[in-house]
Amino acid sequence: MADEAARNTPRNVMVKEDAEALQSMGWREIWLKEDWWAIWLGLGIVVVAYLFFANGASIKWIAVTPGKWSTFDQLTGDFVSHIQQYIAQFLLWLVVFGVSMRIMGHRMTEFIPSFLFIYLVSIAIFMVGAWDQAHHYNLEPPLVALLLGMVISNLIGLPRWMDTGFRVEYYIKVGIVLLGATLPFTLVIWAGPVAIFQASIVSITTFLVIFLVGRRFGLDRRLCATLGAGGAVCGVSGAIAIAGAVGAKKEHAPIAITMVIGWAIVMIFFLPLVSRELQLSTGVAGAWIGTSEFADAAGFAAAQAYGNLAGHVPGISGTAEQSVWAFTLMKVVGRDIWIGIWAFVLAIIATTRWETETGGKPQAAEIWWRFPKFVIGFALASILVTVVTSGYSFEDFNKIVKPEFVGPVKALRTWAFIFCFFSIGLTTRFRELASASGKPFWAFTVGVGFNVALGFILSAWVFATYWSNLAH
Amino acid sequence: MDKSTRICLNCRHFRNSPRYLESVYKGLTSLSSAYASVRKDDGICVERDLYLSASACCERYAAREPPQRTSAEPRGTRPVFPPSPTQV
Repeated sequence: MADEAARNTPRNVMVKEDAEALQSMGWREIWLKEDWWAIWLGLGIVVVAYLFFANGASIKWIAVTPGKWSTFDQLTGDFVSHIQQYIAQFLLWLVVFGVSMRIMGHRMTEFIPSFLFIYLVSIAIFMVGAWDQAHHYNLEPPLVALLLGMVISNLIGLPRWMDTGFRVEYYIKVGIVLLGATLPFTLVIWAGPVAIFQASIVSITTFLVIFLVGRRFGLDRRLCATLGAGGAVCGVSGAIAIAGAVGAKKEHAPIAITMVIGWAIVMIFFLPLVSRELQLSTGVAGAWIGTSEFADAAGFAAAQAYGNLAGHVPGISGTAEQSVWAFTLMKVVGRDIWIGIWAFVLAIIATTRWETETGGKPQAAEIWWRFPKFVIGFALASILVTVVTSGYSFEDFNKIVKPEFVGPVKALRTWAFIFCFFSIGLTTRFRELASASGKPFWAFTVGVGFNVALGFILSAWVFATYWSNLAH
Repeated sequence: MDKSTRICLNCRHFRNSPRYLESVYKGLTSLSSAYASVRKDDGICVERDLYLSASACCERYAAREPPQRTSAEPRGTRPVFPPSPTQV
């Protein structure tokens, strides 16, 4: 219908929004793409938090989260006593997200009420997670957020305009930049090469399996590459990047989107469940999730859900942070940052070796323009906090820095993640997804099998000691 | 127009606005975004039903008309979109 409408648009009239988008974005992406706004917002929060800390204050007042509770009186009493903080925090998020969303072209009449809905339900999800019996009933906030969102979107339904506030990718990118503030850069330097090595083995193997199985089934090379990128590199984002780079048919991307979404949601539950049965340490599980989940948002949901079990479920060693750290190192450092290279290489292959319907010489600049820029914010946040806290002893870091500086940043990060997980559920409408059965399904699924198995072998056996000992 | 500008970006068949792509590709926003850096300037060619780079080119290139505004649309009005599709 969009194409028909586009064709029916009179020749001499172009919709204003199309005209604005038609310019090659180039450096305008600094204020027009979510990646850059994640840097400005995330890094901005970290810098402000540090400035407060350096002057003897803290942002913890506004970084409020529901406290642990066991009775409803405790729950309501805690909420009422902090109501001003919740209102202030909501306004903070509304302003920082709202301004950026407006600049990117979204409508505030849609975003504001939609985000209010997100925030209010997120408070409730947080409260569920703070219940002292939550772990007993497996009510992990990421999973509760996801399931609740899917129930609402698939069984109840919301007006489509509310999608304006359900910005999964934007929220997770802001969260990842804030995560950088809690992940020592020394750890990135130390563990990064191993993560890159392990992730490369799994990514290249998975891509080749999906591609070759797909070709064996007679599928178009471009579809095989799009599916392969979705399963091996970075999920839906990887799929659309490669689809564009190789000039895929219009229907190829939706097939990959359906496959990635389906398997990503399965893995959110499967990987933590199996990890729990095998009593994997949080670091090992996080690494496995990092190689075998397809999207950052889905992976963080799984990693955070599993990490929350540490200290609550007997037999699971490690800390909650180790799960998230291992996942971040494997997925963001080991896989995400290479998408530009994948796109460049596959574009060269497509234009020189495959029969393509269009021409155009790939440029090496592709590697930069497709680079997921939010990773820069993640690295800068990590470097900043590592440098400014380097003079503290381990004891002083835990006694002073954590509660006054890093802790509040982590709390805000958790909020961003909850917004993301809830939005995943709200935007996952199974009836609307493109059909992806038969050969594409089996090509992708065979790749998933290889991916999960190889990822487990490398994470839980070959490099197990390494991931189990991720430390500050 | 020389050959270096006869690319999809300047072709009337090419659509790459983020809102358009998110309306066409259902599920894109569940785990990704058309406002992401990885997408660069990629878009859909409605003539050939391809999803491709803005720097691609083909023999069916047709120069885009400059944008116009009707007399009923004063400056600063909201952008007008074609009706959104419900399915790809």
